[in-house]
Amino acid sequence: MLTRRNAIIIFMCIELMLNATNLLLVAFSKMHHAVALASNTATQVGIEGQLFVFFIMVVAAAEVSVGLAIIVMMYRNTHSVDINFLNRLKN
Amino acid sequence: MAITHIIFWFLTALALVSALMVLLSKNPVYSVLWLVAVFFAISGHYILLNAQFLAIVNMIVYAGAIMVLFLFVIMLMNLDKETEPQKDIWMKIAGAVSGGCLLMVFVSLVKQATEMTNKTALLKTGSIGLIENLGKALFSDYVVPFEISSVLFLSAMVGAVVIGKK
Repeated sequence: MLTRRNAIIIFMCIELMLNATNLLLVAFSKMHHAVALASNTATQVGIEGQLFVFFIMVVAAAEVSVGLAIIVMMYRNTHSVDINFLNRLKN
Repeated sequence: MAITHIIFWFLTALALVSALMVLLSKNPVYSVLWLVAVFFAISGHYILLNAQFLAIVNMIVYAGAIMVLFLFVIMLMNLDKETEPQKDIWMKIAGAVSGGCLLMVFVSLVKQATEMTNKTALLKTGSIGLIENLGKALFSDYVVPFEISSVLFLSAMVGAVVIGKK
Protein backbone atom coordinates (compact mmCIF):
# COMPACT_ATOMS: atom_id res chain seq x y z
CA MET A 1 0.00 0.00 0.00
CA LEU A 2 2.99 2.25 0.45
CA THR A 3 4.49 1.62 -2.92
CA ARG A 4 1.51 0.93 -5.13
CA ARG A 5 -1.43 3.19 -5.70
CA ASN A 6 -3.57 0.99 -7.88
CA ALA A 7 -6.58 0.00 -5.80
CA ILE A 8 -6.95 -3.36 -7.55
CA ILE A 9 -3.35 -4.35 -6.81
CA ILE A 10 -3.82 -3.41 -3.17
CA PHE A 11 -6.97 -5.50 -3.09
CA MET A 12 -5.11 -8.47 -4.55
CA CYS A 13 -2.47 -8.09 -1.86
CA ILE A 14 -5.19 -8.36 0.77
CA GLU A 15 -6.20 -11.67 -0.82
CA LEU A 16 -2.56 -12.72 -0.71
CA MET A 17 -2.37 -11.99 3.02
CA LEU A 18 -5.56 -13.92 3.70
CA ASN A 19 -4.13 -16.89 1.83
CA ALA A 20 -0.90 -16.72 3.82
CA THR A 21 -2.97 -16.88 7.00
CA ASN A 22 -4.93 -19.82 5.63
CA LEU A 23 -1.80 -21.76 4.81
CA LEU A 24 -0.37 -21.08 8.26
CA LEU A 25 -3.61 -22.20 9.94
CA VAL A 26 -3.69 -25.46 8.00
CA ALA A 27 -0.04 -26.15 8.76
CA PHE A 28 -0.54 -25.51 12.48
CA SER A 29 -3.68 -27.63 12.53
CA LYS A 30 -1.74 -30.51 11.02
CA MET A 31 1.09 -29.96 13.51
CA HIS A 32 -1.37 -30.02 16.39
CA HIS A 33 -2.96 -33.12 14.93
CA ALA A 34 0.37 -34.90 14.66
CA VAL A 35 0.98 -34.43 18.39
CA ALA A 36 -2.47 -35.66 19.34
CA LEU A 37 -2.24 -38.59 16.96
CA ALA A 38 0.71 -40.03 18.84
CA SER A 39 -1.43 -40.85 21.86
CA ASN A 40 -4.82 -41.50 20.23
CA THR A 41 -5.17 -42.87 16.74
CA ALA A 42 -8.83 -41.86 16.27
CA THR A 43 -8.48 -38.27 17.39
CA GLN A 44 -10.04 -35.38 15.49
CA VAL A 45 -7.94 -32.69 17.15
CA GLY A 46 -6.99 -29.92 14.79
CA ILE A 47 -10.11 -30.01 12.65
CA GLU A 48 -11.13 -26.60 13.99
CA GLY A 49 -8.22 -24.98 12.20
CA GLN A 50 -9.33 -26.28 8.84
CA LEU A 51 -12.93 -25.24 9.46
CA PHE A 52 -11.67 -21.79 10.39
CA VAL A 53 -9.84 -21.64 7.07
CA PHE A 54 -13.11 -22.52 5.37
CA PHE A 55 -14.87 -19.65 7.09
CA ILE A 56 -12.04 -17.27 6.20
CA MET A 57 -12.56 -18.25 2.58
CA VAL A 58 -16.27 -17.52 2.91
CA VAL A 59 -15.62 -14.07 4.35
CA ALA A 60 -12.96 -13.37 1.71
CA ALA A 61 -15.38 -14.21 -1.09
CA ALA A 62 -18.04 -11.89 0.33
CA GLU A 63 -15.41 -9.18 0.85
CA VAL A 64 -14.18 -9.44 -2.73
CA SER A 65 -17.65 -9.06 -4.20
CA VAL A 66 -18.41 -5.93 -2.19
CA GLY A 67 -14.90 -4.50 -2.57
CA LEU A 68 -14.83 -4.87 -6.33
CA ALA A 69 -18.26 -3.23 -6.51
CA ILE A 70 -16.84 -0.30 -4.54
CA ILE A 71 -13.82 -0.09 -6.84
CA VAL A 72 -16.05 -0.11 -9.92
CA MET A 73 -18.15 2.67 -8.40
CA MET A 74 -15.02 4.67 -7.62
CA TYR A 75 -13.76 4.19 -11.17
CA ARG A 76 -17.08 5.37 -12.54
CA ASN A 77 -16.92 8.55 -10.46
CA THR A 78 -13.26 9.45 -10.87
CA HIS A 79 -12.18 7.49 -14.02
CA SER A 80 -9.16 6.25 -12.12
CA VAL A 81 -8.28 3.54 -9.63
CA ASP A 82 -5.64 5.66 -7.94
CA ILE A 83 -6.22 5.47 -4.19
CA ASN A 84 -4.94 9.02 -3.69
CA PHE A 85 -8.20 10.24 -5.15
CA LEU A 86 -9.85 8.80 -2.07
CA ASN A 87 -7.89 10.80 0.49
CA ARG A 88 -10.22 13.71 0.01
CA LEU A 89 -13.75 12.46 0.01
CA LYS A 90 -15.33 15.24 -1.98
CA ASN A 91 -18.83 14.93 -3.35
CA MET B 1 15.64 -36.30 -0.43
CA ALA B 2 12.15 -37.67 -0.66
CA ILE B 3 9.78 -36.70 -3.43
CA THR B 4 7.60 -34.92 -0.86
CA HIS B 5 10.43 -32.57 0.02
CA ILE B 6 11.15 -31.82 -3.60
CA ILE B 7 7.48 -31.00 -4.24
CA PHE B 8 7.36 -28.90 -1.08
CA TRP B 9 10.37 -26.78 -2.00
CA PHE B 10 9.18 -26.43 -5.58
CA LEU B 11 5.75 -25.23 -4.44
CA THR B 12 7.28 -22.88 -1.89
CA ALA B 13 9.55 -21.30 -4.47
CA LEU B 14 6.68 -21.04 -6.93
CA ALA B 15 4.45 -19.36 -4.34
CA LEU B 16 7.11 -16.87 -3.26
CA VAL B 17 8.19 -15.92 -6.77
CA SER B 18 4.60 -15.59 -7.94
CA ALA B 19 3.69 -13.48 -4.92
CA LEU B 20 6.60 -11.16 -5.67
CA MET B 21 5.57 -10.94 -9.28
CA VAL B 22 2.04 -9.97 -8.23
CA LEU B 23 3.56 -6.91 -6.61
CA LEU B 24 6.13 -6.12 -9.25
CA SER B 25 4.05 -6.51 -12.41
CA LYS B 26 3.18 -3.25 -14.09
CA ASN B 27 0.09 -4.57 -15.84
CA PRO B 28 -2.77 -5.54 -13.48
CA VAL B 29 -3.78 -8.43 -15.75
CA TYR B 30 -0.37 -10.04 -15.26
CA SER B 31 -0.77 -9.51 -11.53
CA VAL B 32 -4.01 -11.45 -11.62
CA LEU B 33 -2.42 -14.30 -13.56
CA TRP B 34 0.49 -14.47 -11.09
CA LEU B 35 -2.03 -14.49 -8.27
CA VAL B 36 -3.68 -17.53 -9.87
CA ALA B 37 -0.26 -19.19 -9.82
CA VAL B 38 0.05 -18.37 -6.09
CA PHE B 39 -3.33 -19.92 -5.41
CA PHE B 40 -2.45 -23.08 -7.30
CA ALA B 41 0.81 -23.35 -5.36
CA ILE B 42 -1.07 -22.96 -2.09
CA SER B 43 -3.57 -25.59 -3.21
CA GLY B 44 -0.61 -27.87 -3.84
CA HIS B 45 0.55 -27.22 -0.29
CA TYR B 46 -2.90 -28.16 0.98
CA ILE B 47 -2.79 -31.42 -0.95
CA LEU B 48 0.66 -32.06 0.49
CA LEU B 49 -0.77 -31.56 3.97
CA ASN B 50 -3.63 -33.91 3.05
CA ALA B 51 -6.22 -31.15 3.42
CA GLN B 52 -8.07 -32.26 0.33
CA PHE B 53 -11.30 -30.39 0.93
CA LEU B 54 -9.52 -27.08 1.38
CA ALA B 55 -7.37 -27.70 -1.68
CA ILE B 56 -10.43 -28.18 -3.86
CA VAL B 57 -12.31 -25.28 -2.30
CA ASN B 58 -9.27 -23.02 -2.67
CA MET B 59 -8.98 -23.92 -6.33
CA ILE B 60 -12.69 -23.45 -7.07
CA VAL B 61 -13.36 -20.36 -4.97
CA TYR B 62 -10.11 -18.43 -5.37
CA ALA B 63 -8.57 -19.50 -8.66
CA GLY B 64 -11.97 -20.05 -10.24
CA ALA B 65 -14.42 -17.47 -8.97
CA ILE B 66 -12.52 -14.60 -7.33
CA MET B 67 -9.84 -14.32 -9.98
CA VAL B 68 -12.43 -14.32 -12.77
CA LEU B 69 -14.18 -11.51 -10.91
CA PHE B 70 -10.90 -9.58 -10.75
CA LEU B 71 -10.26 -10.13 -14.45
CA PHE B 72 -13.76 -8.98 -15.34
CA VAL B 73 -13.34 -5.79 -13.33
CA ILE B 74 -9.90 -5.04 -14.79
CA MET B 75 -11.12 -5.58 -18.32
CA LEU B 76 -14.23 -3.52 -17.61
CA MET B 77 -12.04 -0.60 -16.56
CA ASN B 78 -9.91 -0.60 -19.70
CA LEU B 79 -6.71 0.30 -17.88
CA ASP B 80 -4.53 0.26 -20.96
CA LYS B 81 -2.82 3.57 -20.40
CA GLU B 82 -0.08 2.34 -18.05
CA THR B 83 0.06 5.75 -16.47
CA GLU B 84 0.08 4.60 -12.91
CA PRO B 85 2.20 7.23 -11.18
CA GLN B 86 4.87 5.66 -9.03
CA LYS B 87 5.53 6.97 -5.60
CA ASP B 88 8.87 8.50 -4.83
CA ILE B 89 11.86 6.46 -3.79
CA TRP B 90 11.69 7.41 -0.10
CA MET B 91 8.20 6.00 0.16
CA LYS B 92 9.41 2.71 -1.29
CA ILE B 93 12.34 2.61 1.11
CA ALA B 94 10.00 3.29 4.03
CA GLY B 95 7.75 0.48 2.84
CA ALA B 96 10.65 -1.94 2.53
CA VAL B 97 11.98 -1.03 5.99
CA SER B 98 8.63 -1.40 7.72
CA GLY B 99 7.92 -4.67 5.91
CA GLY B 100 11.35 -5.97 6.84
CA CYS B 101 10.76 -5.07 10.49
CA LEU B 102 7.48 -6.99 10.45
CA LEU B 103 9.20 -9.98 8.85
CA MET B 104 11.93 -9.85 11.50
CA VAL B 105 9.32 -9.85 14.28
CA PHE B 106 7.59 -12.87 12.74
CA VAL B 107 10.82 -14.80 12.26
CA SER B 108 12.03 -14.15 15.80
CA LEU B 109 8.60 -15.11 17.12
CA VAL B 110 8.67 -18.42 15.29
CA LYS B 111 12.23 -19.07 16.44
CA GLN B 112 11.40 -18.40 20.08
CA ALA B 113 8.15 -20.35 20.21
CA THR B 114 8.88 -23.30 22.46
CA GLU B 115 5.50 -24.80 21.53
CA MET B 116 6.81 -25.62 18.11
CA THR B 117 10.27 -26.99 18.79
CA ASN B 118 10.83 -30.48 17.45
CA LYS B 119 7.38 -30.65 15.96
CA THR B 120 6.53 -30.96 12.33
CA ALA B 121 3.28 -30.77 10.42
CA LEU B 122 1.91 -34.12 9.38
CA LEU B 123 2.49 -34.59 5.68
CA LYS B 124 0.56 -36.95 3.41
CA THR B 125 -1.27 -38.71 6.27
CA GLY B 126 -3.94 -37.74 8.79
CA SER B 127 -7.64 -37.83 8.11
CA ILE B 128 -8.86 -34.50 9.47
CA GLY B 129 -8.65 -32.79 6.10
CA LEU B 130 -10.92 -35.25 4.33
CA ILE B 131 -14.34 -34.14 3.16
CA GLU B 132 -16.11 -36.73 5.29
CA ASN B 133 -14.64 -35.59 8.60
CA LEU B 134 -14.80 -31.90 7.82
CA GLY B 135 -18.41 -32.22 6.67
CA LYS B 136 -19.40 -34.03 9.84
CA ALA B 137 -17.84 -31.33 11.99
CA LEU B 138 -19.27 -28.55 9.83
CA PHE B 139 -22.82 -29.80 9.96
CA SER B 140 -22.83 -30.83 13.62
CA ASP B 141 -20.67 -28.52 15.75
CA TYR B 142 -20.41 -25.59 13.38
CA VAL B 143 -23.84 -25.50 11.83
CA VAL B 144 -24.76 -22.10 13.30
CA PRO B 145 -21.69 -20.30 11.91
CA PHE B 146 -22.35 -22.03 8.61
CA GLU B 147 -25.87 -20.63 8.45
CA ILE B 148 -24.66 -17.19 9.53
CA SER B 149 -22.14 -17.25 6.71
CA SER B 150 -24.97 -17.91 4.27
CA VAL B 151 -26.70 -14.78 5.59
CA LEU B 152 -23.40 -12.93 5.15
CA PHE B 153 -23.27 -14.04 1.54
CA LEU B 154 -26.81 -12.88 0.95
CA SER B 155 -26.05 -9.46 2.41
CA ALA B 156 -22.83 -9.24 0.37
CA MET B 157 -24.77 -10.06 -2.78
CA VAL B 158 -27.41 -7.44 -2.04
CA GLY B 159 -24.71 -4.92 -1.14
CA ALA B 160 -22.77 -5.52 -4.35
CA VAL B 161 -25.89 -5.11 -6.44
CA VAL B 162 -26.93 -1.94 -4.61
CA ILE B 163 -23.45 -0.40 -4.91
CA GLY B 164 -23.18 -1.41 -8.55
CA LYS B 165 -26.55 0.02 -9.51
CA LYS B 166 -25.76 3.60 -8.54
